[in-house]
Amino acid sequence: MAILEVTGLGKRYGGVVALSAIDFTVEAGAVVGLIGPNGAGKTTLFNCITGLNPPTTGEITFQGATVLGLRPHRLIERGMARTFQGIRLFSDMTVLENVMVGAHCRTRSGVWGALWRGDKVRREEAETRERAAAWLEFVGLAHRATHRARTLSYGDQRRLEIARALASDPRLLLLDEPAAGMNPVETDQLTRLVRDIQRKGITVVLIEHDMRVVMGISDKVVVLDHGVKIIEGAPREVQRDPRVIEAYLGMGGPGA
Amino acid sequence: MMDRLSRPWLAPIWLGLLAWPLVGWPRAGYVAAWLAGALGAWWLLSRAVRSGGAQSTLGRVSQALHRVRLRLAGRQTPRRLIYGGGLALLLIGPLFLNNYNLDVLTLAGIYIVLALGLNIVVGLAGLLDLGYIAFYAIGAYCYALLSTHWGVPFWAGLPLGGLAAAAFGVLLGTVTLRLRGDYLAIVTLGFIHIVHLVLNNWDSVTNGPNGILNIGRPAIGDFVFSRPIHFYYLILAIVVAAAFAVRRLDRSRIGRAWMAIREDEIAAEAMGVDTTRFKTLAFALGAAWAGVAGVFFAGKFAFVSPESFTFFESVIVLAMVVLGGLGSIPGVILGASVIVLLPELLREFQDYRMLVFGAALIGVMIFRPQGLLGGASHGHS
Repeated sequence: MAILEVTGLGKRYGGVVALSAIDFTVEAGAVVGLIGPNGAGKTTLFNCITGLNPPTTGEITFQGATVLGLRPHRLIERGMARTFQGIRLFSDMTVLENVMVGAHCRTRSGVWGALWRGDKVRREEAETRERAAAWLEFVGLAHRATHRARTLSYGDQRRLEIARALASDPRLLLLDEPAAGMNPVETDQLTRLVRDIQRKGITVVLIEHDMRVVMGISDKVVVLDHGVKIIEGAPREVQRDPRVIEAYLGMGGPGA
Repeated sequence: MMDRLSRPWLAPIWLGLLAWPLVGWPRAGYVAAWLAGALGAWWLLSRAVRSGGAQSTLGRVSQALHRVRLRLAGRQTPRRLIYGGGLALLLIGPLFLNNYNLDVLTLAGIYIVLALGLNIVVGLAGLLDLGYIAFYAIGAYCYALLSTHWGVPFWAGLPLGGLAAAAFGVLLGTVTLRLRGDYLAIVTLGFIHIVHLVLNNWDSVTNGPNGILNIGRPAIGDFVFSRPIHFYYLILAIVVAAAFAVRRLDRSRIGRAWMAIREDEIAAEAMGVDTTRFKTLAFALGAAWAGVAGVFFAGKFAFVSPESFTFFESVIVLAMVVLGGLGSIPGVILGASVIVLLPELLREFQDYRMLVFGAALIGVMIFRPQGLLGGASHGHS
């Protein structure tokens, strides 16, 4: 069953066509890699899907219902969470608080609750804190909980972004270049982390330039170039496809 | 900060030179000597702490101080003791003060409420609002009109003024939703000028520059608030309520959402925070406290005029929040107190006091850009 279906998606900025006629589906429970050279439109596609930057044309169906035109905070409520390519943490808040913000859409207490702070609100706050701590444990950052987010290393910041997104109990997690700037050890940890996330029944779509990561964990790979999908398929097929090689290496002559 | 203070001998000379034309030679010397002594003591203490020399008397003293500080920072009970003691002092102390001092303290109280409210908008949600005093004016005029036309009592005016200000807060918040940073500052600056112009020119309602007279004072039964000490206790109660409310909001799901917006609005939205709703909410709740302060102002002086609600007042309140430390509640209270009380303490310098005051502000911004108490651990976790 497809959890996410994108059909005929296009995005124009004035005369510039950033994306055109993108079709692809993501099967529930899968890990899908989204690759392509710089400027291919991968992040634009993410922004279209997550409501940050709505598409000009096309349809997006998530868990059987259209999500076109919904604002990002509604989408995460429906179970679609994301991370950012240029890390966007709440840098002056603590690591734990960052993850607690991720649980915002799963909690309800409002102004009066905050002022009165009755049993219900206290319980919700304690639960949020506990679950945030559990997610930190899951990504291996529990020992950093009280530090400010800005003090973390680059790799830790990326993992914190993942924990923050996970705290919203997503069904689909979109990771924008999670391994960027990581050393080989961190990259291996990340690969394991993505597998653990998949094992929890969460579908993952990731943009990644590190081919070892993408080919190692993806069930399916979608390749974009110049705003067009050139191929999608199993990692092995995609790797051998001449159009992909041409897109990446720019070999001369007409494509296959 | 350490780098800048690595040449501590410069600071006393600088301050001495600054004070010379203001207070004359011998006194400027005293000021410089006092600062030199304080800096020297601080330097010796911090050196003793670093070397950890428990042998010397100085080392022992500094370590004892350090332990006391840890105790105060860490545990609940001493903290409650401090709050309790402070409140007791605030309750009993004023009985021994004269009316002038009480009026100054009451004024400080009004500004503390304003600064706490502005702290929600600027400190927590990160929305630079230069027109905040407009809500203070709306609260004050709301009660002034209700009282003079319909004889509405003060205790009903207090929540109504707060509500009216909050409603205008929602209005301003909605209009400026898409703006941030400098652009938001400019529109809010426009807002205070609009409000000021309306108050000044809508003669039939606001009585223009002459203001509104004979506003009803607060009363309980036959007892009418009239002496400075009555108003002191009233504003003290409002300050405690405001500090309590802002602190509770700060440490809640709402406060976290605001801080998330302050840190990164796009990420906050993507993480599920309805940024439209929460920005408007910050404007409304911040404005509500300004409205309450405005009603108190009208009730205390029984007179309001547009003169009290200028852009300059907005800047003063913003300075209090920034001086004390954005987002820090004790910091904001300290900042407001310092800005109200310092010019009073400097009164003997007469014409020069605003100059010294400005220099002190600049000094803080150079040596502690995060504010007096800002940047300290939030203590959430």
